[in-house]
Amino acid sequence: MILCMHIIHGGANLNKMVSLTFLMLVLGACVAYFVIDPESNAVAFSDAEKMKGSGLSNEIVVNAQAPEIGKTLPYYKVMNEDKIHESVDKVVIPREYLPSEEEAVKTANEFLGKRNTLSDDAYISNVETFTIKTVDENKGSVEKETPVFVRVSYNRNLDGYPIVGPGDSMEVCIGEKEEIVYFFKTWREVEKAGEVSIIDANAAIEKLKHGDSVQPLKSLNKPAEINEIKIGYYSDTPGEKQEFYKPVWIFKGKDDAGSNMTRYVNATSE
Amino acid sequence: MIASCEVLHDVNEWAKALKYGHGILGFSSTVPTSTALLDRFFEETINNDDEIVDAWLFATVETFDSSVTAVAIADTDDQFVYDHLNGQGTMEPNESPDDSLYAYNSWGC
Repeated sequence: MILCMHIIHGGANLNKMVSLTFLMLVLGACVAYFVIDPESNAVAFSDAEKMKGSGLSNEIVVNAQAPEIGKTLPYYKVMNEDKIHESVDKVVIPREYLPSEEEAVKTANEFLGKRNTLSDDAYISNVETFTIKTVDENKGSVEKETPVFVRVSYNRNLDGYPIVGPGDSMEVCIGEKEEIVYFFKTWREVEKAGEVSIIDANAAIEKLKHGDSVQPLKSLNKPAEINEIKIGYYSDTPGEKQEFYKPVWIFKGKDDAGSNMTRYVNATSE
Repeated sequence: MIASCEVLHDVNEWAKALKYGHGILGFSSTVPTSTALLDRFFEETINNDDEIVDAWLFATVETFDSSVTAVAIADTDDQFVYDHLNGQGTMEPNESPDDSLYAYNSWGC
């Protein structure tokens, strides 16, 4: 039909019109081909692009190697939970002179040592200076940064494996003149209860694809890329009753929106 | 308070919403569902009459692990530091005149 219309209006430009119409027909045919045959379209992309592009696929790109572990790992019975919260009257307040992060670590270690709470399985997981940033929203630039405290965070290993989750951590926040402005500890006393069979990382990734992770998340984003695989133990929210510490696979990477992702998947086979 | 995943990624855009509102609390990462978070926050703000950002710090650090990033934004530095929940202590005045500055911090829990 297009061709007919062009011929009617043709005259001297007939050849040019015919060429143009032919080009349009070819383009139209290509569009129809891709609409009718989506599988042929998909092969034009790499697997990784296909997974990220759709947002519907539950495929996960794995860029990491799982640690070698045996068929079983120990699990632990929780005997007791220690929970301490101590703080000065006002924690988030401008302070003029803070210790350096190195000095803060020394102060925090001494503080925990005096209280007999620095156990051998504890390790420093993070040190940072908490500040109030005053920002100009038009320029997006930080105009002023007011020091508040230096925070030293501790986590715990169990038989050489990290404990993840909200339990089993300590926070020591240091203000002026080595004052401890906030101390928080949640630590469960555990005893070895036996051995459990462990699923391999591939089986755990399959569970992850089906949304089977230890902590229920508010996010609708799905795991897209795994860049780090570890095994550890999960410790629940302080105050929550937890009978056992069992092994979990720990996956770190990106979700399908490109944001950082950490997921824990139950590693026991039962 | 917006207890949803990754909502406060762009702090600067959210800060522009603060004209008469004093602050926004939330997360810039994914966050597990938790009733403990709100229990802990309201325990501090209502039972202990703590300032809002102090309570948000305690509640987030004591409920989640370091994979979760909490955010607090306020229209002014004083609101960030001294505001309490209404009826639970002092509240700083609304910013007047309204300028382009705001106060914020984020932390791994």
